[in-house]
Order: sequence, then structure tokens, then C-alpha cells
Amino acid sequence: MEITELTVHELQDKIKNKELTISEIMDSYCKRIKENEPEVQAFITTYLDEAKEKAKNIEEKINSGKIDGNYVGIPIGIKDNICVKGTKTTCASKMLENFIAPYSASVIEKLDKENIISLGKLNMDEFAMGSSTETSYFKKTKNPWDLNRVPGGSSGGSAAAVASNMVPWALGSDTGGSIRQPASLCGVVGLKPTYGLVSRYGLVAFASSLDQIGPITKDVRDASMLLTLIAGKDERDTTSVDSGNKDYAKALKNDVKGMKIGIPKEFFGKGINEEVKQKLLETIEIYKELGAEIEEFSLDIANYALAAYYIIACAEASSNLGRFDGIRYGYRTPEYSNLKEIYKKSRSEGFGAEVKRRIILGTYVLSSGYYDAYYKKAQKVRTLVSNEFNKAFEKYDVILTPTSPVTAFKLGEKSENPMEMYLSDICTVSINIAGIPAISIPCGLDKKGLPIGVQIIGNKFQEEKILNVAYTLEQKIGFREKYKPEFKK
Amino acid sequence: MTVSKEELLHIANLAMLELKEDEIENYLLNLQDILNFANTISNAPVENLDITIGTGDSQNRFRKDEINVFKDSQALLANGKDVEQNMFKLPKVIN
Amino acid sequence: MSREDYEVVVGLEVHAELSTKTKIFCSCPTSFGAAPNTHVCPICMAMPGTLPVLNEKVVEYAVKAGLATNCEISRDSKNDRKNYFYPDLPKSYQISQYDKPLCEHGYIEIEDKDGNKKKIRLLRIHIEEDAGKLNHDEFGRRNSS
Repeated sequence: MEITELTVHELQDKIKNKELTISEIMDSYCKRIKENEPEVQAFITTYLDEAKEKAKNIEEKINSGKIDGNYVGIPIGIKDNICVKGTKTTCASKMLENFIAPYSASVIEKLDKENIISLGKLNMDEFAMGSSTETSYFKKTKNPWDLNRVPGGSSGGSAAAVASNMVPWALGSDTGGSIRQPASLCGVVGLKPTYGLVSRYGLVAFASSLDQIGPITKDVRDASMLLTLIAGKDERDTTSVDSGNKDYAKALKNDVKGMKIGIPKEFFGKGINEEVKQKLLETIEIYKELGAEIEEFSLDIANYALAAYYIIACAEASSNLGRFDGIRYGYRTPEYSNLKEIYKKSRSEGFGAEVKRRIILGTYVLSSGYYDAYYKKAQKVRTLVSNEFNKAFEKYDVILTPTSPVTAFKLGEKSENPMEMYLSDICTVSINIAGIPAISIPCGLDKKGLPIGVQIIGNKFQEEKILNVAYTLEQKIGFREKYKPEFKK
Repeated sequence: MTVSKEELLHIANLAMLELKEDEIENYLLNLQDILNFANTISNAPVENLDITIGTGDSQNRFRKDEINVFKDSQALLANGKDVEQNMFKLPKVIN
Repeated sequence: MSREDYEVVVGLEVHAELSTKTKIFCSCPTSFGAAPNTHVCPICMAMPGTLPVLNEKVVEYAVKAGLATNCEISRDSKNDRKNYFYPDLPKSYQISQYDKPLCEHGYIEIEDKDGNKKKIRLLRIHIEEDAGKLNHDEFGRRNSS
């Protein structure tokens, strides 16, 4: 097996057994990126030379006994809306094309402490607004399973880089499905943690009450390890909570006997592709064989949640993106005669179409006359969605749905129709609205050879449960051993 | 609800965005489309429900009143387009 | 209508700068006299990705002011954003309080010139951040912030 095909826990084993050195690993990844990046286009910035240099330095320090640790020298890729001090953080926007972050996000500090080495910053939809990574100002990332198709979004670069073995794992962010949906479309694992489990300090805000950073990995064990590294209370993010320094990998029992899994029938109805539905039904059968108790129930919130999501997310975004005004950082229009022109022209020229669309929608729903009908009502729907999930979790340990209603669609297929693109998030947004955790793992391929993802949803801070349920399925179906991306042209 | 062109331009102005003629047409269609879907929530059974602002538990989270100086203030100016004497320069705002 | 038909109603909006050591939402010093943009950090410069953390002393002072003026102190209070664009407002919104201020329904008692006691009602006390500073160049055509 190629080095770059290994998971992080497999790399760790090989490092421990002296089968591999950190420099060898880093060289393999740099080579892999040079070969694959021209086709996949997952990165906005790479730091290959710096990464090799760091690997060498770290290796010397290990050999002289100055540092040790389980993650020393392990490479990673970072979504480009997470600040890394002294390097470009663009949010895939012309607005931040040359922005150098003056500080590092809390999650980055945690990775630095472990001596994990970043290979670069990964492509995304502009300011994380999109479901295909096509709204990036810089490039269109391709799906490694079929290069004519999108990797999903907004963390499309992260998912594609992991799927194509250009990084062993990556950080993404998820506001309405932006980790899980691209993970599903690229056949990898993506986890959106409970709101507050991971610090958002240093994550460029899209919708502050929905955003969470989370792992995108090759398997569930890696996801549990990366979550362990980044979780925890941070004084700089007052919404972060103390999770008790759990080791999430310990939750992986490979056993779901007696677990109660709820199947919300509304998530298997209209709009869900037939092949996706069939594969999900097969997956449910596997869980039955594994000894889980399956029960269908009604959770009629998907449409309300999606509508509320676009109202709340856009409202928050319209406020959060006000700071991009051309003054202290970011794009400034070359020609202006007064202050208002700096504002208007810089923002109109610096933001792409989708970002402007959402700022306008957000400003609209917050404006007087519409506030009650849209924004306030959406906040009530938020209560409704939480209540419905609470009720469901009184009966079930976890809830199982498709992650995405469809498999990877063609580049350009939906980019002209925003409403159709928004419907891609129908299975994922209610999780963010309720602030609960969910994981997407691959459960098979459709007839075109494209991955299908299953989403396992848990109650607040029940990451251990969903990780174990996902792990047990993963061990049974062995997706990674059976299927590999073909880079179909 | 139907969004008029005047309303769209008013909203864009509030958001400090300048829309070109072809963008106006496009955004009007999109906005109408999205708002029609957003109206789904008018049927949601939420009569007796309170609003939810965030998803975390609300409790006091404070910081002590202790000074912590950020050491790299130059890095905070480094992204500015027009910086002089440690300040960001702008066209004048008072006539 | 004659002048006697009108009643004068006076309302005051009083801003008080609190004597805290640090700013309301970050740990930068509040002392005066330093060079421009040296008492700043990523939070008050509104760098993308930063988050505010409330200074407990600000809440303490506001509550004390509320108690001194016979206010009800809210058990449930929150901050809100007031969005507008101006160069002294780096985030493009001011963190203030709108519908749930810290203190409400207070009063102070004064005596009028005849020695009668009179209650001056106090609608609310809320906490908010102050804007940055603009320096206006008297010779040139520009401002700096």
C-alpha cells in the first residue's frame, strides 16, 4: 500500500514500529500533491517546502529526544477559513486574496502543540457559502471519483484532498452541512461536532450560531482522534464548553447490539434519489443484522428547518461580513472619491455573486417590516426543531438519514439555480439548527460509481455514540478496502 | 410577498452593495424564489414557542479585567492598503 | 394652541465611560496617551474569526449603577448588534443592548425649589462598546482611524 493511502492511526503504527520516518511520510505527501493537485485542484495555498523543512527539524528533535508524542510530524490540510498566523487565509474570496492572518485560530494552536504539520490551505465555497465549492474565487475543485463532478461543499477542498490522498486528514467547517455533504460526495468521513464542543476562535464567521469546526478523515478512528485533539473549552470562545477531555477513540466498540436507531421517514421521501434511498435501506438492514433495534418514526421538520436555516444563516452573515469594508484589510477598490464609494465598490467588487445574494437576503429578513415574519419566526422554528429532536432522543440513541439527497452532481449543473443548490442541504441543516452532532460515512456506491453517505445523528455531546455506531458499520462494510476513487475524466 | 426593484436597491444600499443592471434582474428573481421557499415557515406549528437565539445553554461567561497586551500590533496594520503613522488613511468624512 | 397647552418633557441619554483597566470585549488596556493603534489586538481590530469576551468588571459597575438608582437588575440580559458602516466601527456593528438591558425601571429622587420630593424615572442602563477614534487631518483631505 502507498504511504498516502494510510490512515493517521496506521501512520502512527508504522512510525512507532520504525517502518516509516516523518520525512518519508512528508515526502510522499508532497509528491502526491504535485501529481494530483493539477487534476483535483483542492488547495488554495500549499506550504510543501516549509512542511518538508519542518518535518526534518522535528525528526532531529525526536532523534535527540527533545520532543515526542503520538501526532508529531503527522501532516494535515486546513480549510481556508481557519486563521493560521503569518499565512494567507482567503476564505476563497477575492476580498481576502492577500490577507495575512495576524493570529492563529485556537484549533491551529492545538495542532501546533502536537507538532502536526500543515501541508496547506484548502479550497471551499466563498466564505463557506455553497454546496459544491464552485463559488470559490480561485478554482473549481474536482471530485476524485469523477473529475467532471463537484466534491460538494463548502469544505469541498478538504474532502477532495482527503479522498485523493493528498492529505491524511483535514479540518473543515460546517454551518449547514459543509463537512458532511462533501464527505458524503467524496466517500470519506466527516463529523460536525455539537455546537460548542470545538472553539470557533479563528474560524472566519459565516453564521456564528451555526458554525462548527470538525474533522474530515479517511475513517472513523481518525475522526475520533482528530476530534479529541480539537475539542474543549476555550476562554476566547464563550460558547465553547468543557467536554471533560474525552478520548473519543475509546468509544469505538464495534458493537451496536441493543442500540435503538430511529429512521425518520420524511428524510426518505420526496427529493431523495432512488439509488441513495435503496443503499440507505440496505445499510439499515446491516444494522439490524448487527443487532441494533430499528424503528421508523415521523420527524416532519426538514422543510421548516431548511427555510429557517437560510433565513438565520443569511441574517447572521449579513452582519458578520460587514467588517469587509476595504479599510483595515481585504480588497479595496482602486478608484474612489469618497468613503461610501470605498465601501460600496470594494464590497461589490470583492464579494462574489453568492455571497452578495446571501448578504442581500440576510439584510432583507432583518429589515423592519420583515423581521417578525422571517427572522423571528425562524428563531421559533429553531425551538420547534430542537424540541422535535429532543423528543426523538427520548426514544432513540441515534437517528439515521441520508447525508445528501443525491450523489456528486456535475460541475455547473446547479450553479445557475440557487434554490436548487440550497435543497442539497435538506438532510443536514436541521442538525445545525438544533446544535447537535452528526457524522457522515460512506456506505456504498451508486451505479455511476459515486459514493453514497449515511448520516448518523446524536443528541448534544453524544459524539461517542455516533462515532461508535458509524465505526461498527464501517468495520462491517469495509468501504475503504473495497472502493477507491478512479479520477474518471 | 413580492420584492420590488426599489426595495432590492434599498436593501443593497443598506448592505453597502452596488448592483449592476443585469445583477438586479437576476437577484430579483433569486430573492423572490428563495423568499417563496422561506415562506414555508409561515405554516410551521410554532404558536406557543419561544425563540431560540443560539443553541448553547445561556450562562454568564466573563473575562477578568486584566490587561493582556497583544504583542504584534504591526501585524494588525500590515493588511491595510493605506497606512500612515500607525493609522489607516481614508477620504475625509466631514466637509 | 397657546404655550400653556404644552408640557416640556426632557429625556437624557447619558454615556458613562467606566474606569476599567481593559476594554469591554478584549484585554487591551484603556489608558490614554499611547501612540495610535498600539492598544489594539485582533479582537478590537475586528480581524476575521475573532470573538468578543465580556469584561466582568463592566457588568459589575453597571449593576452597581443600577442598584444606586433603584433599578430592577435583569436576571436575563443579552447583548445585541447595531449594524452600520463607519470608519470608527471596525466590525461594522456596535455590540450594545437592545431589548434586554442589564438594569431597568429605576429612579432617583430630587427636591424641587420648594423642597418637594420629585422622582426622576430612569428607563434603563445598558452596557455597550465605544467606537474607535478618528483623527482628522486639518490640512489634507483625509481622515485616519
